[in-house]
Amino acid sequence: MRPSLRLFGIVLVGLLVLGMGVHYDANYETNWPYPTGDALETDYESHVGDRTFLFGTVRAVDRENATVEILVETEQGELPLTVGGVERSVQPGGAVQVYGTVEPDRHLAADRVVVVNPAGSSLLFKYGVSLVGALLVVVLFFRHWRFDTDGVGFEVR
Amino acid sequence: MAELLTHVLLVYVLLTVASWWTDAITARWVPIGMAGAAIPDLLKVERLVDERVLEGLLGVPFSYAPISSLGGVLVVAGGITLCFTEYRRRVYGLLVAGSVSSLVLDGLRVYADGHAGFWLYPLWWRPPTPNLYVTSDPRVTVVAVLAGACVFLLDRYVFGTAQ
Repeated sequence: MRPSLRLFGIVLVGLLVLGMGVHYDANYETNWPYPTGDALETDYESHVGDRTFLFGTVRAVDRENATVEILVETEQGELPLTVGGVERSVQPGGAVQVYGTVEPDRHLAADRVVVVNPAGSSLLFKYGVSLVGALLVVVLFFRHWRFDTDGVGFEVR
Repeated sequence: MAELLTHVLLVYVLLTVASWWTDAITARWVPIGMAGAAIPDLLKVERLVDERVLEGLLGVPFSYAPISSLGGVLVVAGGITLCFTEYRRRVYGLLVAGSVSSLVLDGLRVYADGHAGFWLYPLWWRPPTPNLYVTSDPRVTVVAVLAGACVFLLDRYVFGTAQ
């Protein structure tokens, strides 16, 4: 296969990825059965009483009242919400999933809270370990394969 | 998603063990599968080029999320395969196998409502999840590293196919 034909194929792949990204975004809300952060930001009161499932970054923790304040990313910025019924240990900077009910005054009554990252440092751990994984792939790959400048592509060493 | 090291080590273990029984997989094919395991992580490109930048260029809402789904990896693996001058069919197969293993591993993660993310897009938007682990759980990484080390030693000193 000629390099120009392969390049055409790669451009086609790029266009397909763009097309999928547009299709996905256009259909996301109809396939997400809960009010999203954007929907709550736009019209919070109309969703009071609804079940919701949100992802947020912990801004503050109140252990006495078993509540945490989370920031949910939306198109307009960050939506602050107070989540009640949080018994799991989490620190500011951590990340949580909240499944519960929308209550007035930007409160969520949580049925289930999952602590994804207990603290901001958990994200550093993930990125650090992921970097090791990426280096491992690159080193192993170039032990067996090389870039052929004549054929314009990777070939066996 | 689980961190990248766990994803690539899972494929390393699976393909290296497979290489003990089949001549079709030799040491050169293992890193191709491992590279495939990294395809869903290409989603991180959003940290370099924000979705809003592409939305501005396209004029319609856009999301990178499909890159980390079945439909996305089938397409992206095709693009990467075209960067090879030979053995493209086998390269594509291993890239897809590696990336699907990553998606399946991610599909086992904990979701508070019991349904996983959109990893089977566009076939199934939110399949159920057995809620096995959270991504920052270091025990998952420890198990992956130990399994990878065991397989590496077995391959080097017992089975010897990686030479």
